[in-house]
Amino acid sequence: MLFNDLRKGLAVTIKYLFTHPVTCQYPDERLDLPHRARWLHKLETYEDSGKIKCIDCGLCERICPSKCIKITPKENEDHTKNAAEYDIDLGRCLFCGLCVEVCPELALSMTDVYELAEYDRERFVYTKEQLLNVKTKKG
Amino acid sequence: MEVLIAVIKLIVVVVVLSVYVMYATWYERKVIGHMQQRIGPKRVGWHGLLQPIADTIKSFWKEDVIPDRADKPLFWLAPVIAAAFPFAAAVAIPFAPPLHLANGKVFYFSVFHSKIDILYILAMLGLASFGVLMAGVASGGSKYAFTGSQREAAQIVSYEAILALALLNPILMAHSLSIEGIVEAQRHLWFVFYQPFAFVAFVIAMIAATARVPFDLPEAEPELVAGHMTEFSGLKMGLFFFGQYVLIFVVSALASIVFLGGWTGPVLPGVVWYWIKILAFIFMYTWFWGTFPRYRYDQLMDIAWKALLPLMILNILWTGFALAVGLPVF
Repeated sequence: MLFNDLRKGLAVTIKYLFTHPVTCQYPDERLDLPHRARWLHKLETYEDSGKIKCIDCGLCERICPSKCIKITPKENEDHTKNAAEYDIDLGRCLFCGLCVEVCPELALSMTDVYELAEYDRERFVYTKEQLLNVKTKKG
Repeated sequence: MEVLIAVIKLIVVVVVLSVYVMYATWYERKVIGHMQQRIGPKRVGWHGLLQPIADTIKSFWKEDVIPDRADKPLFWLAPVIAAAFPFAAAVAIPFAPPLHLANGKVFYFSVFHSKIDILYILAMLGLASFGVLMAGVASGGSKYAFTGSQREAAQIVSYEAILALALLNPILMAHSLSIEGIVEAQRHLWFVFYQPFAFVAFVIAMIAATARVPFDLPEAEPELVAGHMTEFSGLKMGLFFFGQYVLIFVVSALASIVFLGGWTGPVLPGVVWYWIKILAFIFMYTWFWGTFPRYRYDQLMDIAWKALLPLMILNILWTGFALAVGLPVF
């Protein structure tokens, strides 16, 4: 038929004119993250006692490909060990999740907090206090 | 009194067309956006409705760069011509059907009214393209601007003949060059049903005349930066846009008057029909923009000279023959 290819093109565009746009208006609305999204780390605590789960085995420090985890150990009265300081330098972290995989005590997890931009490189170094008090979006 | 009314009409036309140009850009960005599953302007005002105003203010304060090698007088003249002549054509376009007053006089909703409206509009459309030609020459050897103007020259010789020849069929049938006469002749059946080939040829030629997709050869963004407008900035470039959008309005109104019966139509009042047709043509432009790739200019010349010109000449011969022997023209 006359102008067949042109008509096909016009039919496609008029169809899409009445479909819903796919744009996400970012600051006003946010896309849902996948269930296992890997973003900012969180140090877990025991629910009953509130103590930190980390036993300072140092496996995460060893497995980290970009060497961004730094743990300073501390020995308690009952000869158990805990991390006195636990720093993650997110400026170097590649969010591979190996530290979470390797942790024998399930003391480390990854959350859905992904808006991590800072004005200063030093502020990418997250301390133990910050990692303990991460507010996840899922609550 | 006559002069005063004409001046008031002129001011109204300037204001209406300026607002129309501003909001045409908003509307086109919105429609093209949704065709590509985007949203388009959204942040400035409710659904981006204040965006055109922000854009206009911005273009006022932009630095006005004039290249050293530019031909200064022509560089000033080119955007003025590109905006003034579409505007001169627009003053002959009525904004509503003529009003028959109680004292027997007729009030026309166009600034300028004569028995040769169509001829006048065609002449102004022809002159409007000189702005584009001049822009390329004035840009002082800028290859993009010059190539753009060169293509415009190739485009003019293609579409001008088709535009006039396609209009000749309805003019022959209506025995009139005035807008009222042509609309009156279509009271029973619109000319598009008698002259489908002329209508298609006119639509193709009018897209080429306004240099829009798929015939936006002088601009050709991916190839020529902005074609003839490359060296122009700020308000001067705004004038080119102004000219182009007014031209779109003029040819849309012309097409709806000549082929779709202007303000004739069943049930609805005339002015509503008239604007529905004009807006449909303006939407057609946007729709084509969102759909088609660009033709090369040798392809445009092929379409115009090898297909449309013989077709139009045969069409005119047939129309003339049929009118002479009193056949209903199909």
